[in-house]
Parts: sequence; C-alpha cells; structure tokens
Amino acid sequence: MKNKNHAHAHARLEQNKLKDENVMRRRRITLKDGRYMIFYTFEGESSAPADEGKAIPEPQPVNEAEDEP
Amino acid sequence: MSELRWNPLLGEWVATATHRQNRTFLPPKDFCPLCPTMPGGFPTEVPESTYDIVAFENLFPSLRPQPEPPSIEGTELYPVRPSQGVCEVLLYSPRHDTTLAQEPIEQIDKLVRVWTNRFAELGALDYVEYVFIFENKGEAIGVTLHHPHGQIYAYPFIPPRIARELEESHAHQERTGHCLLCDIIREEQRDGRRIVAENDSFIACIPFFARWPYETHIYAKRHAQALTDFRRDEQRDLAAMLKMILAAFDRIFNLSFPYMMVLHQRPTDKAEAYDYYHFHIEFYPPLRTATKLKYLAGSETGAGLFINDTLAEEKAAELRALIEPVVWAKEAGSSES
Repeated sequence: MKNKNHAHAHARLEQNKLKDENVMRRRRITLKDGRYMIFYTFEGESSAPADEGKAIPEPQPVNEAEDEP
Repeated sequence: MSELRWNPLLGEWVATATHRQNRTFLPPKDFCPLCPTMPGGFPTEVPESTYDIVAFENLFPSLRPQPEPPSIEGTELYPVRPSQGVCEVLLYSPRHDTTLAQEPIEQIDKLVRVWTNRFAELGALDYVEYVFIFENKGEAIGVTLHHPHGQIYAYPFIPPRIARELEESHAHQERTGHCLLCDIIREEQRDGRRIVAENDSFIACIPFFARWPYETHIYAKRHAQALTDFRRDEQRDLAAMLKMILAAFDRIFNLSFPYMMVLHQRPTDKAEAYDYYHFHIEFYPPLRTATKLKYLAGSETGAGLFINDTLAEEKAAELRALIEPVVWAKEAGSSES
C-alpha cells in the first residue's frame, strides 16, 4: 500500500518538476550524534555555493528523485 | 524516557517524553542553537549556513525511529507501546531575526515544496501512519527557541483530532454524497461574511464554528487530500495565501502575531481510502486583544466546549480589511522594466 501511495506522490512530483523552473535540491548529512539533517536549496535562487548544490544519493530513497520541484 | 500510554477514558494515546524537560529554553540570541555555526563561534546544531530550508531530527524528540522500550510494563487496561515515529525541525531561514510572515513569498513557496517532500518521505516509512506538519510561533504559544522554524511529527497512528475529522467527513459523505469541506466552502462562499481572502486555488475564512477569535482556515478549492496532490500553480497559490494571511495577522495589533499553524491532510497509509477527506490549514492564534490571551480553561480543557468571546463575522471583517495583495519578485521586476 505504501508503494502505491508514494508512486502516486512521485508521479505528481515528477509532473511538477517538468513545469518548474527552479529545481529543488537536497543534500543529506549525518550529524555526530547520528541524527540526519537535510539541506534544501533551490537552483538559481540558492544561497549555497554551486558545488554544494549537487545531490548525493539518499540512504533511504522514497520513490523520489533527488531533485524535486 | 519516552513511551506511549493508553488513556482508556478517552480512547487515545498520551506520549511521555521526560528528556524534554531539559531542552534549551529561550536562550540569548547569540547562543541560539538553531543559527548556523559561525567560524570561531559556539557549535550550534546546524553546521552550515548555505541552505534555503533545512530539516533535521529534533534533538529532544517525543517520537524516535528506534525508540527505547517503555519504562513501565503495560496491562490490559493500560497498554503501553514504544514511542516510535519521527520528530523533525524545519528551519525556515539561516537568519535568526525573521518570521515566516516577514519572509518573501518566494521563500514561503520553497517551504511549501519542502513540506511536500517531507510529507512524501516520512509517510513512506513503514511505522508512520500520519504526518503532521505544524508551527508554534511566539512565546504566548510556548516556543522555547525564537529562530524561525516549524515542526513535523510523524505519528505511528492517526491522532485523535484528525481521526474525528475523518469520521465526521466520512459520515457526511455517506449521508449526503458530498465532501464535508466542499460543502463548508460552498456555505462560506454563499454567506460571504466570514471570507478573509481568496485566490484561484485557495480560500481563507474565519469559520462559522471558530473556537478562537482569529482562528483562520485555508481550504483548497479543489477537492484534494494532501500536499502531494497539488500542481505547481496550486503550490504557488498556497504560498500566496499563506503570505497574505500571515502578513495580515501581524497588522492586527502591529506586532509579531503568535499562532499555532497546523496542516490537516489524509493519513499516509491507504491513501485511496481517504478520498472523502479534504486538505486544509488551520491557524489558532491565542490573542484576543493586543495584550490579552484566550486561555484554555475549565470548559475548554475539562469539558471540550470552547467559549469564543467574539463573532467570526466581525473578526473576519477586521482581518479582511488588513489583507494586501502579494507580489512575486519576478512580477515586480517585470513590471518595473
């Protein structure tokens, strides 16, 4: 059931992506105490340096692209 | 120690989280743990400043992905279960001295997109049944950190307030064949007195049944159940509606208006089973005047009957008069050229 739900959500996200000019990028790190932290930046508007905006693989992908509009 | 304890009187779970007694409480601005760590400065929770929005696990969570066993053994009357789930913090900006209301509409649009991403990702976790996105703003609400932020609780069950809305929505659908919130929108549009703002995709009103003087709801005009259902133009319209409402809130008493903001969406399991439900956002501002709070006292807390000292029709007129149109930067730029 989860897969069906999120396939639908993913389809919507992908549909949005095609229409959007500013791609959302996410970069996930692990803090020293083991908690995760996800930095979201938006292409073309981000305050992040260009080389930090590159997406990295997610340990637990959730039927989503790294770039989500 | 944290666990979920069953309340047989109300038929609902209560979360204990004793470690939260030790969380940081209103630190001075220079020692905000949610500001980015600066060179030579004290180490905060956020090691970088190069982001638009950041999401991370709460340092003092009520729910954890790998929770410890309950501290007490349950019984048939008093079941207990591990408090499994996720508690996230969402920082709206690296800047300390801002609020969502003060942020440009473009930043609120980014937040809507991040919300959508977090809803999809957390909802996919096997042990999560409901993703609850919210913001507590202002000391009047009890915030302990002023850095602009919201939160997400990913619950292992459908929380009671949502469960009740689902039940009422389902019963209305069965009885009338209509969506309850679609009917509420039609009723508000027919009456008109309680509408605060409207755009192509969303309508805001102080509902007929408001519990708080400035309780404001934002309803999706299209029958949609969750953030992930929205098209890109609807995401932008939601950002615009949020900006209009939040800015108007701050104009009521010319102060940074405290509120609780909550997103009501369908549960994340068996999505197709909740087609009758309808996405909306609710704001519960605690102020009834510039200096007086609406308290949840005996009737509200002990009996569940809210006493609202005001009329929704009058407060909606007051708030509606403070609504100003929002302008996207690109549109403003193009109009200047």
